[in-house]
This record gives sequence, C-alpha cells and structure tokens, in this order.
Amino acid sequence: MIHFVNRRALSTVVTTALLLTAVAVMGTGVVAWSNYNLRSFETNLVTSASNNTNKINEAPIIENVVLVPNFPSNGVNSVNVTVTNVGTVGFNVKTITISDSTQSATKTVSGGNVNPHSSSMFSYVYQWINGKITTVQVMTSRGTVVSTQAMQP
Amino acid sequence: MIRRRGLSSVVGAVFAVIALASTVGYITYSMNVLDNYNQSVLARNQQGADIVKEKFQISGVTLVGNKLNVTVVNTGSLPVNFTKIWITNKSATTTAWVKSYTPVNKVAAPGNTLTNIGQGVNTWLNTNYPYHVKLVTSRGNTQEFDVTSAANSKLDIRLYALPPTVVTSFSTELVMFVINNSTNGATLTNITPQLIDQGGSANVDSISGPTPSSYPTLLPGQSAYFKWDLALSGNNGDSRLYVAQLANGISGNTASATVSIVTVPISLQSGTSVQSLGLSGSTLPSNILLLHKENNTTPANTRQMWAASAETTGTVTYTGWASGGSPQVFTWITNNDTTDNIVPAGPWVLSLRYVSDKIPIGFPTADLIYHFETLSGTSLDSSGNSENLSPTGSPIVQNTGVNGSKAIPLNGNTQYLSHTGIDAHSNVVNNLASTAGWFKTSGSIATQRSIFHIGNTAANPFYDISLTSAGKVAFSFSGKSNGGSATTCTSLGITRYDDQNWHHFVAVKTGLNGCSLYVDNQIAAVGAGTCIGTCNLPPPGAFYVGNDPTNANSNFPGNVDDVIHWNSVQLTSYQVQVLTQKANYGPTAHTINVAIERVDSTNTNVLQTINSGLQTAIFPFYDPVTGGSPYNIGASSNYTTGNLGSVTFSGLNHGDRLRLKLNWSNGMNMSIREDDNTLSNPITSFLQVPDPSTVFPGYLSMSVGSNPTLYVQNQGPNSAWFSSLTRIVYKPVNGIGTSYAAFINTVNNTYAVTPSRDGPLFKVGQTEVLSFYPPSDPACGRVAGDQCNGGLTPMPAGVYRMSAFLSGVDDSGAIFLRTVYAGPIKVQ
Repeated sequence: MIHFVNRRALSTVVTTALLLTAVAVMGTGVVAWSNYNLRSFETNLVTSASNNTNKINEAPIIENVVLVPNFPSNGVNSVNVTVTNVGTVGFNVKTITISDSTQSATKTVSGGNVNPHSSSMFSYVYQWINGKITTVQVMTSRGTVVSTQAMQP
Repeated sequence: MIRRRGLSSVVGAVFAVIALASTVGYITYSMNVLDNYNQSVLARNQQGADIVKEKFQISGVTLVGNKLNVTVVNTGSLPVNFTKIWITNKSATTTAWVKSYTPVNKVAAPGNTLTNIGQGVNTWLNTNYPYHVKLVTSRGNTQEFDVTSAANSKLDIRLYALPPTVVTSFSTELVMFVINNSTNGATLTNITPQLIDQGGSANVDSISGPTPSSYPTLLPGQSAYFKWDLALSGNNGDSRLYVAQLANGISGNTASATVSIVTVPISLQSGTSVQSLGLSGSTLPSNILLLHKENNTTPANTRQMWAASAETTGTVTYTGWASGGSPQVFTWITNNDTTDNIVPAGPWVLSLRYVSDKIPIGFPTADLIYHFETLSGTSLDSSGNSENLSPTGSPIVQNTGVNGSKAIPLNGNTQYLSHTGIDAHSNVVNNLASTAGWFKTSGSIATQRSIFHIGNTAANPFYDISLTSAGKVAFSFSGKSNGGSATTCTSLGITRYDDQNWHHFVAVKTGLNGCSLYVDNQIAAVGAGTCIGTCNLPPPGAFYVGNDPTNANSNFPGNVDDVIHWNSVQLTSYQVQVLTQKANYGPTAHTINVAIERVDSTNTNVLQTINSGLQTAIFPFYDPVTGGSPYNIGASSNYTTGNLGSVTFSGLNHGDRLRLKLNWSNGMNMSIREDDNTLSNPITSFLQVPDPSTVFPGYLSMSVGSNPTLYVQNQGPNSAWFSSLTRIVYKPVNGIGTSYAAFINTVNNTYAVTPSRDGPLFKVGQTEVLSFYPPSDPACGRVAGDQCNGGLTPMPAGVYRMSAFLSGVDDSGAIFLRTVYAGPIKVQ
C-alpha cells in the first residue's frame, strides 16, 4: 500500500516537472519572440523618427542663382546655384534639377554636404535661354526639396 | 501540493514580469521618441514663424567712397542678422560679375536702424554702371535692389500736362510719375528725371523744375512724383511736345505729353484752365478734387471734396492718434448728381499738405528740439523757442540720421554745434529736467566725448551727457557755484556704446541730488549726489551738441540726432519707451491707409472699392520749422496708387459719390492742412484722379433771395458786350417742381444791363463780375415801369441744377451764345 502511494507520487512529480519544463520552454519562446518583435518595432521607430526629425530640422534655401553666359568663354552657358543651410542640422545636396519650358537636366551632386549656417555653391553647365524662366530645384538626400526661379532678361 | 502550486505561480509571474517590463519599456521608449519628434516639429514651426516675423526695410542706399552704403530699418519684432551681400554688376558694356560678401556690421535690433552696410566690402563700385544688390539674412529672407540705375527693366513712367490745353501766356504743369513696378521687387536708387523738349509751334515763356530734383530711393510699389511749371504762348492750335525719362534709365522707357494753346472768345474765370467754371469763386481742373472743410449738404457730416479752389484760410485735420488708441478715420466726399462720370484707368494721387508733430503726442512741451534736418546757417530749434544751434568747423547735413532721417555728422576734432546764452529753456535750475537723443560713434573712443553739454566755464555749474573713455554713457550735473559735488549716473556693466551703432539715451534729473539714466530703453543707472546748500545755480554761457568746452579733446566723433530737452520735466519710463521705440523723424514717419470708394448718394453703401487702402501709404517727416513757416513749400508729399481700373459713376445708381477715407495707421501724428487758400505751391491737400469725362458734382450754395454772382473773363480775340438775355437758370435736382431763372442786373456791380442797354465793352483779357437779380419764376429784371413786384414766384430753398446762359455780341459783329452747366447748388 505504501509502495503504491510512492509510485503515484513519483509519477506526479515527473508529470509536474514535464509540465513546468514545457511551460518554461513555451514561455521563454513567447517572451523571446515578443522581445524580438518589440526590438524590430523599436528599431523601425528609431530609424523613422530619426529620419523624419532630421528632415524636419534641415532647412536648405537657395540663396542665389546666377545664370552665367558663355561659361567659361566657350559658348556654353552655365548656372551657379548657392545653397545655404539656415537650419540646425547638416544636409547633403543630392541632386539639382534645372529646367525651363523646353528642357530639363538633373545633376547628381558629389560632395554636397552643407553644414549648419554655411553655404555652398554648385556650378553646372546648362544652356539657359534669354527671356525664359529657368527653374532650379535642389533635393537633399533626406528628400527635402526647395526650388526657385531665375531669368536673364 | 501547496509547494507545486507556488512554483507554477512563480514561473508565471516571472514571465508576466518579463512581458510587462518589455512592453512598458517599449511604450516608454516610444513616447520619448515621439516627444523628441514633437519637439522637433515645434522647433521647426517656431523657425518658420520667425522667418515670417523677420521684417526689414531698405530705407536708403548711397555710394560713399565708391562703396555701397545701405541703411536698413528693422521693422519686425526679431533681431535681423545679415549674413551675406550679393552684388551683381549688370553693365552691358563691361564684364559682368557676381560677388558675395559677409558684412561686418550686420545685426539690427528690432526697431533699430543699421547703417553703413557694405562699407566694409572690399569692392569699389563705378557710379556709371548698374548694380544689383541682394541682402540675405540668417533666416534666409532676402531683399533686393538696384543701385545707380533705374533698373534694367522698363518702369511705369507717365507724364501728364495739367491742364493739357492752356490759353496763351498761361501756365501749366507737367507732372511725371515713376512707379516702381519691377517684377523682381527691387528697390531703385537715385531716381533722377529728365525732361526733353521735343519742340513745337508754341513758344516757351518760362519753365522751372523738376521738383523735387530726385528721389534717393524708390521701394517696390512706390511711386515718385516730379513736376515742372511752364508757361506757353502762341496762337490757337499751337502745341509743344515733351518727353520725360530717367537719367541712367533704360533706353526707350519714356513718356510724353503735349501742351496745346487754345483761344476761346470768352470763358468763365478759371485760373489757368479754360474748361473750368466759376461761380462766386474760381474752380480747379476737373481731375483735382480739393479737400474742403465744409460739411453742408454732405451725408453724415463728412467733409466736401470737389474741384473748387480753397475758400477759407484753412483748417487742420489733426490725426491725433495715440499709441494703443482707436484708429482715426477722416472722410471727404463729392456731391451726387444724376449725370454719368467715367474715370479712366490710371493711378490716383493723394497730395497732402501737412506738418509733423515735433515730438510724440501726449508729451509735455519741450524746451529744445533739434532734429538736424537742415543747416542753413544754423540748425533750427523745432520747439518754437528759436534757440538755434550755430555750427563750428563747417559740418554739413547728410542722410546719416536715425530711422533714415538726416543728421549732422561731426568729425570728433573740430566740429560741433552750440547756442550762446542760457535762459529759462536751458538753465536746468529746476529740480527736474530730462534730455533725450540718439548718438552713434564713427569709431571707438579713448577719451571722454561729450554729446550734450550746458555751460562754458570750468569750475562752474554744468549739465553734461557724455561717452566716457570706457565707452559708457555718463550723465552728470552740478548746480554748485564751483561745479563741485556733482550728481552722476554712469551706465552699469561693461557694455561699450562706441560700437558704431545707434543708441538712445534719456538723462533724467530727478532732484537736486538725483539722477537716472536710460540707454536703449533700459534703465542704465540711478545716482545720488551730495550737494548741500545752494545747488541750483544755472550753468554759464552757452550749451553745446558734440562738445564740452571745459574738457579738452571732448568733441564727439559721429552722429547725434533728435536731441530733445525738457528744462523742468521728469520723463516717465513709458515716455522713454515711446521716444526709443515709437518716435520716428525719418522718411517713414507717418503711415496712413488710403481708401477710395464709390458709394451711394446717402453715403451708406459701398458700391465699389476703388482702392482698398489695405496697404499703408508712407509719408515723410516734415519739421514745422523747416523753411521758416509752418506749411512751407516742402511740407507736402504724395501717395500714388497703383494703376487702378476705370470707374463709372452712374446716374442710374441714384447719384454715386466718390469717397476718400484716410485711416490713421501708425507713426508720428501729423496736421493735414485743408481748404487753405493762402497756399499756392503746392496748393492745399487734394485728391487727383485720372481725367474724368466730366467734372464731379460740386457743392455750390447760395442763400434764398440772394443775388448770384458770376465771374467771367474774355480771352479774346474780340471784345464783346453782354446783352440782357444773359441768365442763370435753376432746375430742381429731383426733376420735380418748378424751375427758376435769374435776370442779369449789373456788370462789375456798376453798369446796369437792361433790354435797352448792353453791358460795357468787355475787352480782351478783362475779367468781369456779372451780378444777377434773385432767381424767380419767371425771371425779372427791374426797369422803369416794372419793379418785379408781382406775378413772380421767388425761388425757394432746395437743391437745384444750375446753368449759365451767356449772350452778347462781339466787335466783329458775331453773336456769341454759350450755355455752361455748373452742377448742383444748394439754396438755403
């Protein structure tokens, strides 16, 4: 009788241990899975917030546009674009698109980094036309776009 | 069993805690990130708002030493930091270039004026070439203007002859308008007109002008106004063509006007225009609507506005605007009538004859006021106390004053201004006194430099405001016989005020031993003296601006402006603020909203807004003492609207009226002169409209039973006699009721005109006064046998339309008959 009771107790212990092990494994898995997901969300949130914050804080302006004739005395016109950073974070000028009603050209900028409160001038060959409005559009690597227009009378 | 249950609870709790901690951590982190994001958005919004709030105005551009010298007024509420100047050489004859510079003198505080921008630039400009300049601020705002050239694009230039037809030997006026309609919003500089006589058959007897000779700057949308007076002679049909252009302007950007000679057998007295009318007084060209002071027959007590010369010695419309008070609105209106009148498209001009308040409204009477606007022998005292300042060292007036005004720069060595004699306006013997002014050094200083000093003898009483060798502002005075035990206030801190920027000071004597000192609207020092006994003796001899004769090498280097002294008044801190931030004695001293509307006959409904008046019109400061009389030749300025569309005043709309409303906006108060027949060049305030198709209805009036009087002039070529058929007729303005007529009575109040006797020979060039019997139905002229005692209905009170019928025969045997409509008249 006593022996019988002992066997029953052993089986209860084993069962309990198995159950606990199973719960621990499943619990650990669920926790690990949820933590992984949370980390992913967190990483996405950080990246998104950082990008958007920087995009909001960056403030490029086109300070001046000079339509240069015959640059440099070879019969080809050019455009000098001065971009100024009036914001609090630096930005990188990625492309400058120059266009008028008859043509359009997108220039990829290398070395377009502009620090806060400083300016950079970018010069590109472009056959602008007297009397036509020339539109200059500057796009940063974060996607901020500013544009202005100039015309040589 | 109990233990196993506890173990599972612990395991579950552990997982629950882990899950909860992770979730809470994630949420907290997310909220922090979002908060940072929000802060960035708010900061960006603030930055955008600052960009909008940043405002500045270019008040002057000159070339000093062939370098750019730009004066900028910060009209916004934020400091403006200029980070870049772009200069473009736009010459077509030289190699064009573009250069950019970082200015040295570059920060303007709100309300302050920043001068000498560009003087530190290492580029010399040629005055023969046009330049385009762009100023860039740290927030990215820009303003552009052209220098030495009337732009490279065509401007809106107009030339009008007022009137375009004249009687021989009569004068006319050529008026040139230049409107800065540059599409790039550029400010133009040095606008100088040129008038070219293209010749013609008419002879030029005299010509003078232009007045003014030039405009130093012309802001976008603003207009410049020049005029020439000329007299022509010749025969009927002779003419002369004039072309106006701008010096250094673009080729072909001109305007022309032709003045023609007309000869009429007879015309009503009209001054210089044969098309004008006259009844009991002279009239003006139909496009000049004078601001009259009378308000009879006008709705809502508005004042009359019509093309008739001033009839009184004038009155003043005082704007009376106090800071924070309700805007003052002043209204003038034309009469209504059922006739149509079409005003063509074009600019409208408001010409105001006015003087400016010498100091802001509400201030106690000042004893000494020096704005340094002129230096004709002396620099005038605007207070009216005639304590003018005499110059030493030959300083000259320049456009270097605060807020774009004029000032007298001093060289810091030999130049200063002084007044000999101390009296009740300058003796500072009272317990209280105040002295205010602006100063700007031309460089840093190493010794004490005096701004304002009373007293000319050392070891005597004195009153002094100086910059110390440390660049601080110091106010000191002593009423002791030996000049001892002085009370002194010296600005605290280490700030040096010899920084070539404008600074405002107010030195206040608060008692025999007390002083306070304000610099740039901030209390800078409070001091107490130790004088015992007699402490209120007057300083001897003279007082000075820019020098202390008791202190060697104390000449002030730079500009001192708007020095105002109260000999027995302690200014309040609010008054100090007004003097520092509100007072403006420069070209933008007054701003007014000018609304021009077509309203119905009752002046209750606006039928058409001609000029909304949303944009303020700017008028410059005119010192009442300049020129020696309160309303001198210079005390006049114009506001020209843009090119407004045509306006039809239709009788079908029950007699439209033209209404002018001046809505006081900002700045110093001004006294606008109206209806003053003592003013002639220019005349008292008026509104000039593009030439209307007919004269606007006027405000003639006469008393019931009175004798109408008509002024006529014979312009030749023949002499003539008036006959008794000459009449004045009256028709009820509403078309209902009886009409009346008046029989001619006398010529020149002496010669009776009867059916049996004409008037005397009316020679060419003569003016006659035609007097009529009182109007009645029918008209009656008293002659022997008919004294008009019965069968007549005298004309009662009412509003009528009046016409004159002139009849006679000239000495060539030709009859002349002429009917002239004179407009509505009120019989009262």
